[in-house]
Amino acid sequence: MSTERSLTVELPALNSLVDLLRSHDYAVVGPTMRDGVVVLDLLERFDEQLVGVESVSGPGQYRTQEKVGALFGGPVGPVSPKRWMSPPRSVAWSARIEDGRVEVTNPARVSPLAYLGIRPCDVAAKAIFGKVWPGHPDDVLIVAECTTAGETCFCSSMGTGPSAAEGADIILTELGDGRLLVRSESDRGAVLLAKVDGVASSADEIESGRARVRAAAESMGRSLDPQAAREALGAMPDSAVWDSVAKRCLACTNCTMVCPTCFCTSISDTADLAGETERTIRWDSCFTPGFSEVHGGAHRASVAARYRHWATHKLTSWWDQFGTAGCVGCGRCITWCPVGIDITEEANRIIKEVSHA
Amino acid sequence: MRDTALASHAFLEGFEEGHLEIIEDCVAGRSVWKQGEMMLLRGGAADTCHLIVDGRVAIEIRSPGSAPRVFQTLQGGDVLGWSWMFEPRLWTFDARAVAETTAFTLDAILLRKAMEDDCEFGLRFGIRMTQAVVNRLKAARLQVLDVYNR
Amino acid sequence: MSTTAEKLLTTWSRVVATRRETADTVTLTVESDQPFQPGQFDMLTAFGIGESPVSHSGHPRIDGVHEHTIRDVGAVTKALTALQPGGTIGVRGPYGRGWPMADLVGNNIVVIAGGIGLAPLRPVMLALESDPGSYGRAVLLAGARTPSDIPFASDLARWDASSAIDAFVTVDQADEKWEGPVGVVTRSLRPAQVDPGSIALMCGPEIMTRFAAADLLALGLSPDRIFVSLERNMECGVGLCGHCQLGSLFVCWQGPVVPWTVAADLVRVPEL
Repeated sequence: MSTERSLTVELPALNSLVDLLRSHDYAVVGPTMRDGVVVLDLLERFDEQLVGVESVSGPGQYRTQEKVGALFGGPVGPVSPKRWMSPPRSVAWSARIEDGRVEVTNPARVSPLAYLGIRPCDVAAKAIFGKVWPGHPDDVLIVAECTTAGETCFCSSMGTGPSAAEGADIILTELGDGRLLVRSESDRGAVLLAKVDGVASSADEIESGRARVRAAAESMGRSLDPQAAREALGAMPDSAVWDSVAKRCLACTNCTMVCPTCFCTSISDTADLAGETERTIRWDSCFTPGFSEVHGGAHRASVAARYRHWATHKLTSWWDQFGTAGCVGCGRCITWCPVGIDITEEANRIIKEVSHA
Repeated sequence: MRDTALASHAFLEGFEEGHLEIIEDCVAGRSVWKQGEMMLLRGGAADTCHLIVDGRVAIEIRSPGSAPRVFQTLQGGDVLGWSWMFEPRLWTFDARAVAETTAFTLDAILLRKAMEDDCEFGLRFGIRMTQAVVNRLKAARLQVLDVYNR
Repeated sequence: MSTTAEKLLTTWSRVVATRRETADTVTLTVESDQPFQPGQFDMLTAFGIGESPVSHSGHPRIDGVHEHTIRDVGAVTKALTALQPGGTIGVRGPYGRGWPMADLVGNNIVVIAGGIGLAPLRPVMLALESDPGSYGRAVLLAGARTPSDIPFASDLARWDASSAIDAFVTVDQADEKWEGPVGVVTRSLRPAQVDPGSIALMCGPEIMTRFAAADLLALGLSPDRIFVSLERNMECGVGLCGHCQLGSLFVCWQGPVVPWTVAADLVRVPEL
């Protein structure tokens, strides 16, 4: 935990941070309520609808409810930073043929973003996802540590939360009464904080914040040993677990859409009547039948094979490919699976199968 | 064993000396077919077993109105003909020498008697014939699968 | 645009010549100065239609032009095979791990090609043909569906006539005029008298390469001296889109050429 000075602030301080960032031409992304779900989107100010509200999640379930004093209450929603690092649909380039030559237009360069209230699991996800689709190097991270753990959360197991680790510029820790502890972790964060109104935090307040984060760490709804999972999943392609999941899995692709590290995209060219062509990058999912098509047929035709590929990629192959787990324990895949398939439960079954072998 | 050329035929690899002598006693002679000559005809009496030494043999089938269709070719080291083992002991397909072809020709009647008189020889030779049939079947399956046509 | 999307920018070039190989296969000669290794591929763009990965099929040491042999199997490849000299084509690459050319020097070589799988091996054969003194004896086994599906027929004839190369062409189904072998492509391993110390290169349908690898191992070749070009759905060619993964392997940049010691485990598991 940083020994930088901590301020105790209230909601207006968050809005002054937003104004400050926007005045420096940062677009600000943060939580906002939409159709009863806390999503992430561009903000001009902190969404008042989130005051006194917390999200509650379970396998295949999500809702929001009253929680007096909460600002960043409950676990993450379905949207993650990957929406900006590799948008659901983006144009890589466009071109037209003029006088027999191809004229290419590159879209405007991406500007840096400021993430307000990004959770530690998403900070980890941003770094991991960034190994394939880097974000802007100047993105500002104002991290909200989690003070309650969701039923599907397992960031503790994956070493990604609930306390903020590397990469934060500013860390926010809620005290539960509408106030927050705020501290800077970078020079840039310190410069921003210097312009925010707040009172130096007392030792009791700091300890209260730490205790709340510790309590969240100890009340995670799920757990998983990442090293055991890494060894087990890749070694068990013939496990009966895969077929048992396939009996329930609809291959609906929700999990890949909400997962903050799933990076698969499809790339296609289109042309309009005027002869201009665009190369479009779109989110894709390994659960779609055409994803693995070779020689006119899908190579992973069965749902069991597709689920096996996704889970094994997340927990084993990512290590071989990028030197890190692909999963940050955010629990979104469990929450947004319509039938509540739980990656921790399935991985633990396979780990047990290996230990009995 | 007097005929070292026979003993070194690929089809007989690993056979013990005593069994090689039994086979040698079944040899009717060496056959030579000119390019284009028919070696076996469908429906003919299957009373020989040929161990191909050199050349190329087309196994084919004729139907009215079209040229013969070759579905497999054999080469030196292969055995030609196994219908001698089973009733009604008639050749199933035609075999044609695509190039000049030579072979050791075994008298199938002598061979069958030898297999019945000496059970161990019969077993070994039977297994070797089965292996050739299995290899032929494996190849035929791969051909039918049309793997190059995606 | 992110730096990642920049990897999808293509260089625009022109088709210099076209040559029809079989009913559905065309070789395009394209202007390019980019050096490549045999076994690598480029992503070729048909303007406004899309991109397809296509192996290099030409001699690696010819300046200024590349050859790519394309089979018409979908919208993009149909458009590519329809291009005429002067036509616009997008080229980016080369990508992937190619054949182990340095390992081939001084060694006897077996090349097993199935169907259009001969195209990614053609740069190897052209290199062997133009520099026979650097290599041992080369045996080429090429399989095709029917005689009219045999690609690079004139190259095959020329290679077989070369003293350093023995070429055997086998078809699954003969036509009326075919006088050559009919059967599976590996039938010619025995008459070819392949040296067990050879390095083997294989490219073709996975069924064929699996059986061919088994036959090569039975002949005494070492699995770390057998190489295969894998094929999976490659949409970006640069490890971004995720489609080509086979286990942990990205076929686009950790392949497509891999030793059999790696491939065996990957192709053993159905639907991996």
